[in-house]
Amino acid sequence: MSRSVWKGPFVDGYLLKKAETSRSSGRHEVIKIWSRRSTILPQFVGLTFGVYNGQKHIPVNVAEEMVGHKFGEFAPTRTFYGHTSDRKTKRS
Amino acid sequence: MPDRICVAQIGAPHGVRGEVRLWSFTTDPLAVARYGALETEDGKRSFKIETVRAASDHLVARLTGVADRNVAETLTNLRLYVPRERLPATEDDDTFYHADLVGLAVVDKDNADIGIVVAIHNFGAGEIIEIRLKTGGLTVMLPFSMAVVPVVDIANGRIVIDPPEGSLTTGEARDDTPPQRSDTTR
Repeated sequence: MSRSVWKGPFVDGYLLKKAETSRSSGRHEVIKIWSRRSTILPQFVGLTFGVYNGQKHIPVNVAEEMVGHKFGEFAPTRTFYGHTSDRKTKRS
Repeated sequence: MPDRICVAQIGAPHGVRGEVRLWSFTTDPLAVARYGALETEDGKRSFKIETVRAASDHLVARLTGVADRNVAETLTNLRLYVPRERLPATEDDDTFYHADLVGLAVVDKDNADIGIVVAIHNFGAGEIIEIRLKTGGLTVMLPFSMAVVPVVDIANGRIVIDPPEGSLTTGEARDDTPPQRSDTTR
């Protein structure tokens, strides 16, 4: 069953404070968080969070299309390495 | 830059006419047939893919010089490589093959050695570079962005990083308060 609309999105309070502090400081930093259950809010867009996956913090660059998802969705707890083969990556 | 890149692995024989299962590691699985002759790890044998078709979760291929099941059985678990120079050039200067990046030395702006690149990931929130620190312990992950990785020097085998504050530390204690009902926003 999905969450009732009247409650609004869930987000841990400390996370809001951290995001606000980071945004106001204007520094280039990764905000380390452990709250995988929190919903990504519009005010997080543009920030980079380090979401804990049980071992380390995975950088999550919040984009507009991620709003409404949970942080944990972008930091898998199991990593498959596989072969590099002809895979490419683009520096953003 | 590696000399050769593993693009596929031969699996079990398929049928009695020398066809084999082929596990392709390329982005487009059928692209494995477009790289020309595939070599073994030691480079002593090479195989050309005559025909290839998709099966449920693998490919079925017919290789040159493999005419019956007995020969196909001897090739099981053989990894196939192509020379690095056969991969086409990337579209622009900011696009890199994973194979070129993995293994590069990581240095900071003062040229101090930090570690080596072990993998590149994308979990849906931007490209991520995974670094094994010289100091040991867990690996760290950093965004693969112009701000964090300003220089990628493949020719000299190194990348220069400008890590965000505190991002190279691992295993630190949680700095958030334990979740309590009063500390949540609804």
